[in-house]
Amino acid sequence: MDGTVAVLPNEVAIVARAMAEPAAFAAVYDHYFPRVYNYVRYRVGDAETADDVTAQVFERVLVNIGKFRPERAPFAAWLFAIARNAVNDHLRAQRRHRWLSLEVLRDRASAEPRPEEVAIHNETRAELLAAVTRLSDRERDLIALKFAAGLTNRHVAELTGLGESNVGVILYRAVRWLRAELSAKE
Amino acid sequence: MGEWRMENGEWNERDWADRFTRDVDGLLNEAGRTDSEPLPAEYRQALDLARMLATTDLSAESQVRHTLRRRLLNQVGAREGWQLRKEYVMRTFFRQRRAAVILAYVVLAGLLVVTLAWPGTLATAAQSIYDVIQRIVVGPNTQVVQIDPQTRSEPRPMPPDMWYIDTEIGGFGGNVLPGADPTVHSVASFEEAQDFTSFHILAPGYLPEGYTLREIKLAGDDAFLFYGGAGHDVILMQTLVGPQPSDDPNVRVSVKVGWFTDSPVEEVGLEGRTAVWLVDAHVLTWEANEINYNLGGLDLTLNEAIHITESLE
Repeated sequence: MDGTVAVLPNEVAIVARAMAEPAAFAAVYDHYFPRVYNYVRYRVGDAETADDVTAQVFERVLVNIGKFRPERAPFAAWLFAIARNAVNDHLRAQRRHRWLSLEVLRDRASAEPRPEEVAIHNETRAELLAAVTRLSDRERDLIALKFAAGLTNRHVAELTGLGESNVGVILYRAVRWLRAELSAKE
Repeated sequence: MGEWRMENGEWNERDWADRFTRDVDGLLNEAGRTDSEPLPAEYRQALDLARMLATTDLSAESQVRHTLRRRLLNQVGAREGWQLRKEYVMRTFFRQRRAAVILAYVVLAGLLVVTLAWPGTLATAAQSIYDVIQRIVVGPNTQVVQIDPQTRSEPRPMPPDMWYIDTEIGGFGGNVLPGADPTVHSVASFEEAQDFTSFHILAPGYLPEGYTLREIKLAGDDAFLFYGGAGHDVILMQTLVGPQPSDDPNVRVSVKVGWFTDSPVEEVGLEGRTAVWLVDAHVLTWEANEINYNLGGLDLTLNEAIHITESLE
């Protein structure tokens, strides 16, 4: 495994052209937008902020993509280093801001006039997201890097400065804690 | 999976975490692989939650995905060609007779050619010197950049070995590819002009009353059509743009056209394409089929320009 899941086919060549070719940048954007958005969303909680920060991430990517060196790290690791920095910058600037509560997230999900099945799905998703936002910053970062970004523990460790084995333990604990939180709500 | 078999339930947390890491990487890479091995319920529930985390996609809730994509691709399109660092650069200068300064440039990009015609590029210089108010991507090889007049500087003097064509809306000058003929040719008919260009020159089927073709000037792969009548000239410029043949297999050649203007610009729909009306210059610019077209005239209105444009054949 090269450090990430679902690598874009011919990724290195496409990324090399993405600086100047709209079609190549579009391929990168389309492939990675959901993962970047999900990463940011897990970390910041609300959709509006996730949009703002995700936009900042891709703007930084566009400015810096010519500096990406494939021999140093997989593109996803480079990309999520940018995403992580953008989120950290945002969180530092908003340190005193409290993210959306579970109740707000539930209201948002249940307020949508959709079929019941979709509503249940949304509620489950909202509860999961709400539970993630109750993790510590570090645990949330690791959960997002692992499950939204799809990085290996080795690259998560490199990005966060933690030991690889330690990353595995923290992730395992965090997932078990989330499981217990969601079970308690059922 | 034998190495992971529990022995009397004596695994510690780190053992389970290691196993969890492997199982999670497995499900991330194999789209939800299931394991038939008996495992504690708590561990299985943790794996189920990991699967849920990995498959939950919240991005459908994004309100900016498509607008952001369009904006970023516009930026990439605007820098396409201009951002190629090592390139031969062919410049075309346009000096307007009135106050506003407008520059047009043509870039020939050889990806592996380090030789520069002059240090730096006009495009790079323009982007670093001027504050950009707006940038409109007209086509894959054409852009219009409106700059802040407070930040503009006078255009550099043109080198002496460039071709130069004087028109009522301004003077155009530029260099040509190495080995190409910089001579300006003047002919009176389309048949003669066609011998000098590698593309089919279009002519308007409609012109203001009394206007007829007076002269065609040709420089490199640029054609300038002059139509004379009772008022000021109507001028139609046509330039071959986009990827060009290259003698060197290691060199990619592409021609780009850009306008820098400190006067107002107006985006116009033109038969499904984007065109830009340079208000003070009285020039309509657009791109079609890898040809950049510029239609101008001191008496020309936008409606008249569109009318002429729609009659080109």
